[in-house]
Amino acid sequence: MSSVYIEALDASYSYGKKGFSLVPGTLRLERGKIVFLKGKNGSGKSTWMKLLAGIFKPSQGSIRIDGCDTKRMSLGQIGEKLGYLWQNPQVQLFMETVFQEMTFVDELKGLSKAESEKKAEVWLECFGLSHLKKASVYRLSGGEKQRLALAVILSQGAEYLMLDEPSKNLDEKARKNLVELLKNLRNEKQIGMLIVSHDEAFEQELADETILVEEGKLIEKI
Amino acid sequence: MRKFDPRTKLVMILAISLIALFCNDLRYLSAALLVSVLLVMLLCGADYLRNALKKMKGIFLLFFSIAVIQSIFTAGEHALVQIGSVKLISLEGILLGALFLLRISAVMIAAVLIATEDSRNTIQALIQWRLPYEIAFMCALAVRFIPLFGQELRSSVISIQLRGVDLKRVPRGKRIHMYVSLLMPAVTGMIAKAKDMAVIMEMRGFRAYDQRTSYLTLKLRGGDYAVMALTVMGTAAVFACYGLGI
Repeated sequence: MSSVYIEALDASYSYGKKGFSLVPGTLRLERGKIVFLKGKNGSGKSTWMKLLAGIFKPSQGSIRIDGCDTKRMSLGQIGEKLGYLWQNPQVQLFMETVFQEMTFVDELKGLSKAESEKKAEVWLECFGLSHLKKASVYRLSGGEKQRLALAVILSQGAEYLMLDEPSKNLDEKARKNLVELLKNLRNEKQIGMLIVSHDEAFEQELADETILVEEGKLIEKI
Repeated sequence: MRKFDPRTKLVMILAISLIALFCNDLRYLSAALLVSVLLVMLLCGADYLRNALKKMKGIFLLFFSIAVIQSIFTAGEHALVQIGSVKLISLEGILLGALFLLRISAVMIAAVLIATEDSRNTIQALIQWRLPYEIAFMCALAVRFIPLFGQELRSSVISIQLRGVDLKRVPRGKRIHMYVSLLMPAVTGMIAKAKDMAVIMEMRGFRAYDQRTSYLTLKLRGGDYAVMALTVMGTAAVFACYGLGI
């Protein structure tokens, strides 16, 4: 049976000799599931997420994405399978307009202008952003920036998503839209998601599984 | 190691910078670099120096490239690599490149001395030296923003890779466009932070009155005076020797 999940196997990470360390732990994120990481500020939730996303390489144990050890993968290779949505989506928006943002990465990967533009039209339509095609990225609302960032990530074929506090700074309407979007991604596209969030209502609406993180340790499944 | 007043550290940095700037001799610049390294090791520790050098690796590579380019494009009498009548690399060119590298390295490593200082203390030191508060504050703020800028840039580079882009495989023709685009989130982020900072400062009454009082006053101790005096005398001696052609 093929390994279609992201797995931390007795993995750990440390911020230097005197820095904060994760306690070795095991965690699995399957396709079509949403897992929440909960815990106090500074408990290590974001560190666990970055470890699973391959941004940090484990100091102990291993992280495997669909059976491949992330220590043997470049971030570019990891990025073909997994997308990361930062707490501040602005960090991952590079171009002037929405349409340029959608075509940017495809053009870097060698897709022709015509192909990348056609693809961009489809994905913008999917995410309800077609009417903002020519809009400046800097003038988008928080929710629109997030949707754009997600559209770009998923247009590259990501099968897993890591979302860091995605509902923070969203108003009620934008939050509801995000919940619907993530549910569709899980149910229809079988995207596996790991979400760090303090938002209890958000968690109740989405979580298939919740793991508590305390002082770097994965405590329990709720 | 005893903690020195920030003004003492600034005097040391200034002395090394002046020597690096005005002395055009390999021996003097090598000595300036050695003194920089020793000072940082003594006052900040070897681990701190190692970490600082690791963080500056990228910029040192850039300086090395500049030094190499300078070597190639400098005309000189003693050719080391010559193609026909064209002197590609000359001894004078290599010397010029080496001087540049030593000069910039000495100044950058010396600057690490003040990086360990609390920014409030640095501002106070400059103010007690009669520098206008606004300028001192601006300098200290700029130093604090540099690591934030670096962090945002790193996040952008990670973001683009997590979209499946292998940076090494991007066609050469598109690389400059890519690197410029990578700067955009960090630059716009910094501008946004600066605007927020301006509002916060106004709300706290920045420059509301001509006179400022400070709860913090720095006092120079015997050791500070001794080190500053030694630094000034040492620098004067270096320039005297240099002037005499020693």
